[in-house]
Amino acid sequence: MKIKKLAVLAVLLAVSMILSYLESLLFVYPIPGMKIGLTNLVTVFILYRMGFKEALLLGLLRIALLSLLFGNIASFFYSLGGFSVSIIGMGLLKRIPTLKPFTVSALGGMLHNIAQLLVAWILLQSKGVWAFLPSLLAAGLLSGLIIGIVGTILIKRIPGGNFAEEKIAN
Amino acid sequence: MIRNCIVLAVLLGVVASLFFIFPNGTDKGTYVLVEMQNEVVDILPLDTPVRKEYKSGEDTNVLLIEDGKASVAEANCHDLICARSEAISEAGETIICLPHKFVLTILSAEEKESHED
Repeated sequence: MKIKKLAVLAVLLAVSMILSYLESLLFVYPIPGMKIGLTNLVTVFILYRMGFKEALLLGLLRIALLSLLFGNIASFFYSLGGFSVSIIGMGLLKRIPTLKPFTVSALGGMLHNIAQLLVAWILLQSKGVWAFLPSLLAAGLLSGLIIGIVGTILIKRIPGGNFAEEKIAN
Repeated sequence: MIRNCIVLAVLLGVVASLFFIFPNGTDKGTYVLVEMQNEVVDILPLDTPVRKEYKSGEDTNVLLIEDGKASVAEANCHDLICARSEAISEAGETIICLPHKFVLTILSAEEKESHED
């Protein structure tokens, strides 16, 4: 891995952790599991500018670090389940040329929430969790779409290509 | 762009229809099922007001039944999502306390019988 890319990924990891923390301070949600997921701005950005492997790596690191710092075992499994399913889904959907980032992100949001319900189902052994399916899918679609739209702007505006070149801009 | 909008519109339609396919509790529930650590610990009728404490080690959740509705009056979990949840009364509705694995589910009379088997 090139040194510049390593440095950029490290900065993005810090940004994604701060966004997670910031979000926990700013918003209170009516339904457990309903989240805007600001940190996924970083995920979408990396997925489109650098690639699937980098996005996967950074997300896993973020979840491990945040769980160690603020979380517990349950929150770790929810984050891990939601993230891995959504990133794999988005990595595959991105290959479909007609799909734009905001559509991929909206689908990713829905996949994330389906996966979290699956984890809840396994951990709680309670069918009752599926009562949240429609509202969580709607929430995932909306938040994924918002993240995708803002993410598209970031993907276009932030300079530096895929951060792989040796030459530093300016 | 147009194709993406079509994809999103279809998704929105699917999600919206889910709200109708799984109506969130239409029949009146009559019992509340209390589960802790994945085990059924209690089934209580909703028409009898009661305040009852459930403990599992340090974990405490207080169930409150009044006006035919069940809610969590107090808890010592870290996020208190269960305590902030609205009172529930219709079959299928749940209040879940993830940190304590404490789950309240409203059961209809038939569901209650199947649980007692």
